[in-house]
Amino acid sequence: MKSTFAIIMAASVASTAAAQTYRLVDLGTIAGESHAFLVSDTGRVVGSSTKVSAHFVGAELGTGPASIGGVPGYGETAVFAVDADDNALGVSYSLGGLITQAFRNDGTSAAALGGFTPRAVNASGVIAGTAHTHDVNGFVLPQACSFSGGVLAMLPTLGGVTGQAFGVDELGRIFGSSTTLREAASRPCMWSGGVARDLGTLSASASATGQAWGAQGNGVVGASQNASGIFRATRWTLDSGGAVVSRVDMGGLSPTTPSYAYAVNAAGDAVGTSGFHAVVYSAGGAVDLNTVIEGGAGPWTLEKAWSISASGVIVGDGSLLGFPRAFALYPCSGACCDDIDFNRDGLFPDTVDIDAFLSVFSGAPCATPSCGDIDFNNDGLFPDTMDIDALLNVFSGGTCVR
Amino acid sequence: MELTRRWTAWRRRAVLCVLGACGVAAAMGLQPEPESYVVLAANDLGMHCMQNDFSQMMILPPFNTVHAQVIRRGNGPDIMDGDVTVSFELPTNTHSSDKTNFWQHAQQLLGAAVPHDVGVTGTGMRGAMTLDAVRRDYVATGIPVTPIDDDGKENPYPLALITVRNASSGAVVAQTQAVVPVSWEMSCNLCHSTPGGSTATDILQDHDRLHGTDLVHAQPVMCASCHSDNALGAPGQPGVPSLSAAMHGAHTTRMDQSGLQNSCYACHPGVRTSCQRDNHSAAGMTCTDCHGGMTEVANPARNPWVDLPRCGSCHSRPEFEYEQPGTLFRNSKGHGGVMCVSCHGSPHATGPAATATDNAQATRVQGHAGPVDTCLVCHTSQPDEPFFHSVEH
Repeated sequence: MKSTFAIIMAASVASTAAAQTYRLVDLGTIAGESHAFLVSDTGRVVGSSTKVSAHFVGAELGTGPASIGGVPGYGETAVFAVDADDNALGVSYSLGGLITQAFRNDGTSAAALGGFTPRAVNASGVIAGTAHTHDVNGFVLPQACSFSGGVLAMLPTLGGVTGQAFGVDELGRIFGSSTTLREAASRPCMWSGGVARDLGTLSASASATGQAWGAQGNGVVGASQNASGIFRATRWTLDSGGAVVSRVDMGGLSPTTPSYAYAVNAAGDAVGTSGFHAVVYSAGGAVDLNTVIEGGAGPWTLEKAWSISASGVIVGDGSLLGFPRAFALYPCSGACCDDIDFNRDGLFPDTVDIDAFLSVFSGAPCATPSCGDIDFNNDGLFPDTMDIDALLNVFSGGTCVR
Repeated sequence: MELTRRWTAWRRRAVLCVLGACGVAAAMGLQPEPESYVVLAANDLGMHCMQNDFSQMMILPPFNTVHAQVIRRGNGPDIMDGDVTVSFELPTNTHSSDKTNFWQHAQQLLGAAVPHDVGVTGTGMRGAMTLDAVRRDYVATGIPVTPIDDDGKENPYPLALITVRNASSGAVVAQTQAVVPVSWEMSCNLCHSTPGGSTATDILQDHDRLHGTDLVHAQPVMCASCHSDNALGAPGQPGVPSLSAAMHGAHTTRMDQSGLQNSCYACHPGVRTSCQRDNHSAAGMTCTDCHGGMTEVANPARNPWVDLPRCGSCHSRPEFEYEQPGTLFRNSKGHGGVMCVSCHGSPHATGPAATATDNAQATRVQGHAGPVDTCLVCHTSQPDEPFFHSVEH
């Protein structure tokens, strides 16, 4: 593995997000653009990527992009979650269609689960998502739903006719949004025991909008409109009965810049976007992930952090020279080395990368269209034989050395 | 009331609907009900394109427009231009500021900041639609919707839910769904691709090289700041061709490079997101059959977005009027004042369309896709007079 993950997992430390620096990895694409929606606690990265036909396919990212099969007969596929048994959960759908098909792919084949989009799953296998149902009047409306034990259940609304679900915690509580009576507002919502609860927004206005995306313990994250109508990343704190005891603005890149939080890990670190820059939220507010990359962001703009693992690995969507591209950020522990895919051919670990590094190190030009730099351990010293040691060390599963 | 008289006259002249269609309508619960309403909605163009990255240049901002016409059903139906309120929402696509960097660059591009999640006309992602007294429908202009649903899926055809309420009681009296189509499938990169550089950089460099400008150092650039653009209401600079004339003219001889069967989809959305997905497409017609080729569209004498194909250029039938004189299909009325798009659907997505989402409204109100042609959608009893297509009869 493809072992970039194993290497990083061993070396990573998830804490003090504000001071944390990261190594940026291009997760690649099958042929076109790519999006990384989830990094699991085991380090698996899934999402979607366009293929040569330009349709989206479910994608295994981080190990060299590969497709994850969905349900045949649909034009597009995206994978959003991985369950405790390492099955990929995704949706197949057609642009302009009214039907979506959830699936579970066990690595061999995809089994259809029903007409919904699975967005998250907990360790017990409870899936949260959104179904498109035909109501009694013939409308096709999104409904928050859960899927567990083979049963797809629609979740009630807050009085309106639509809902969406994006997250589920280990208690089986589901998070999302629902409209209120007469479609007056779309409110952040938590479903527990089959009951929908309005989590409230940063604004006192009943017409303010918001969405809850996930939870860790008694802390729920998402986004809601504040008194100025701006979406801000929001952390709701619940009491033991699930009642909201506080709502806090998690920050943004400026006091007036919109911000959103999509995921939170076991350490309580949350990620999202603000001002269309990927951010990690800490006690001090939002940190622009573009500013904490070892060696700088270069041609990248990291736009949206969708997920953070228990070890602090962050994945999301970026722009590489203007094209949508999935990225991963691996926390640096002390030193942070470059990507071991030195020749940028998408193959790693690969001894050709060592050959390429040594060749460039000795003054030869890069033999592929693009290569990394020879300051592999990013200590500012080059040419430096310590960079060779660092490359070999990381290549063999060790840590970055300086 | 004039309206009622007009609709009563129409009722007297309307034809019996096809028995089968009426049967379907009845089966779907469209039995006559006192004081019931129907609302028919349509997007203005059938597809709006936008960019996903505004950091270097802007051709078109996030901007979408949806119309809704409310009809009080009856033996003589009334078009409502009062006594109701109309609102829209996009249930799967409720915010945009986390899906595009438009708002980060709006100040530089437009010379004025635009509030986040609000379009250039002040319309948000949900809210009230305003009465257009001329069209006699309700409109939301400039919705800043993107082709990404909240959950991250690409969705160029998000369905708006449009709700009509009694203005006095607030009670919901009618609802419908209509596609608010949007795509950023503009594949400039098919040709504008320099290794190590962005597509926008390549475009700006080419412009500088060919026209002696220095756009590379003036980023972000709004094309319409020099090239007039009726889509944005931008007057441009004197002596500079319109954006449409410049773009089509500059690329006339280059489109073969795209390698696409329909080369229009190299720049317009698109191979996947199908600007054209209407009944004409199903009949084998393509863009140029109506719009003409690149040279014709590039004609500087043409007034872009105004000089557009006319239905009557191909369609003719005695006593049928296929747009009002001097008025585009999208702005025309027929049949007693009903907007053409209310029954036929949006331009480029006229029914039956290739996409189920575009057919959803017609299917719901009458049981089948295609133009709304079932009398009992609006009439509470079957008219006994021949149907007429024109505004007046």
